[in-house]
Amino acid sequence: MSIRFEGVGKRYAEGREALGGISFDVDAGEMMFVTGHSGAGKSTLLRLLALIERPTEGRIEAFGQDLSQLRRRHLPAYRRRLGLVFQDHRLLVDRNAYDNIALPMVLDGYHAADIAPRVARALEQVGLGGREFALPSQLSTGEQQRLGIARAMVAKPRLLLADEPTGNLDPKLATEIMALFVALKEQGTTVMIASHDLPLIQRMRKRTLVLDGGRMIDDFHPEEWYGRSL
Amino acid sequence: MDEVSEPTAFGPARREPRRAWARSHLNGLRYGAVRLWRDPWGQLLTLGVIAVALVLPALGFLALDQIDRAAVSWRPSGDLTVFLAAGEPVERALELADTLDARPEVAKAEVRSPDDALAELRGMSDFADALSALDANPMPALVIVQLSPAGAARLEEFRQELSNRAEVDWVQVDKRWLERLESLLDLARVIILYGAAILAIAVLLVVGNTIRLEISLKRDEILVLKLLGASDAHVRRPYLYIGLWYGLVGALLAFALVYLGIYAVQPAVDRLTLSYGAAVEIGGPGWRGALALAAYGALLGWLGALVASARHLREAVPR
Repeated sequence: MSIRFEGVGKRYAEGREALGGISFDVDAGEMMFVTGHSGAGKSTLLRLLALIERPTEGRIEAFGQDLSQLRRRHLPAYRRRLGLVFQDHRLLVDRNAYDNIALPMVLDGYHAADIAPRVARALEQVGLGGREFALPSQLSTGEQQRLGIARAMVAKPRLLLADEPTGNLDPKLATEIMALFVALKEQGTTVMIASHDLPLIQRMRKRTLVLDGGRMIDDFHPEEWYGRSL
Repeated sequence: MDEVSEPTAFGPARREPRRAWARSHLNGLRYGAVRLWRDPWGQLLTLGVIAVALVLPALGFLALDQIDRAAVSWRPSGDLTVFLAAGEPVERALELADTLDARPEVAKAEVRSPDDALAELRGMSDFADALSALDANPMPALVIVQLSPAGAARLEEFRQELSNRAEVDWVQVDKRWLERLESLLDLARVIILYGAAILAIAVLLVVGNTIRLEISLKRDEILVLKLLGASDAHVRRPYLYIGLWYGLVGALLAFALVYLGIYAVQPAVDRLTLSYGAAVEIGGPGWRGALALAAYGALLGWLGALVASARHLREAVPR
């Protein structure tokens, strides 16, 4: 078991409840989608796992560790085990594509000689080969999204959290990116994708959590997809 | 030792935390230098304040050092000067010197005859012509006494004993003025130290404020770095090196200002000292002083950046 949510809730200071009573387990190397309408709590769920926010109730366990007990000084090491894809990309605007992708490996202390070939391969895999010197401002929104995806995958994280990773991509590219996520999963990375791209989710036929108004209303596994639609 | 991680979709990779740490320091050092190099005029106000805050105590300590050194060179040859009564022959001085030489309180006793004393006075003053006009030598015979540690320990008692001798007119303690000067220099040292401490706080505040602005400009980047797992130390490092460079360059400016000050003051010192028949060359801080000033400036810059970055980076939490 890789991740466990036990009665997790998130209520903001103004009283709004973003999530409530969420409980589920995810196995190591499992790939799953989290879907629901806007405001259903998909992004909040991923943010809780990335410890960008803390739950106001319940308990989250990741890799055998209770995240509520995680000390501040251990947070960077935990985050270095994650790959994060953000809706707003969160790229370093004054660094080129190569440096943006290399960042997680640099932070994790990888051998300099090993960084270059892996970054080059990551660029190729997301279709940005030859654009290593481009600044984010010189890339289209879709290219920026792919840059963010390459950055999230390059250091082979234990857990990849992707928030609407295909939102700005055409269907063909979206499918290619999904294939990359599947390849990563095959190597043991747990992959959680928040998406409202229902056709894509249906095509992928992976485990899917359905949220509505901050509550989990469904959780079905690949074998339960037969005859179902979202 | 490198840590070898398993092969991945992107090929095998090794971790080398120590080398990565060293590389991160090197990058920080370079980043700080480039930051200053790209916009030196934009940083002039900060650098100027740092330089002024460093140059004032540096000049103060330099002046004290000069006075201290000059005081040592002006120091009389003995610890006590025993003036024999007028009319006492030089033989009495020789007898007294022999007697004193045998005493444990005395390291050395030397006689200066009235003729020697007059010749010395002629050489030291502008009254040579007036002294030549005198019918008789008015100078008494002297015994210059260098005390042993035992004598120095009971200086006042020994002085009293010598003063009570019939052939002795009076005894001058040569060290007393030096002790007074030392006390004055000590007082000046404390005042300069206090001023230096106040100015050091000013440097900390100026560097801290500059780093605060720097951090606020780079806030988005800092948040991304934190999200990707950068440690606080990693995020803080470039800002510490910016502080260090500010301090270092400020110290170099201060060093230049010290020499400018010496250059400006030397003619006035020459005029003053020549009127006393001496010549004093003001020595600069030298390479050791330069190194000490640079280290002090760099340390202050680093500390200012450390305090500011610790506070402002703690407040930068990804949302």
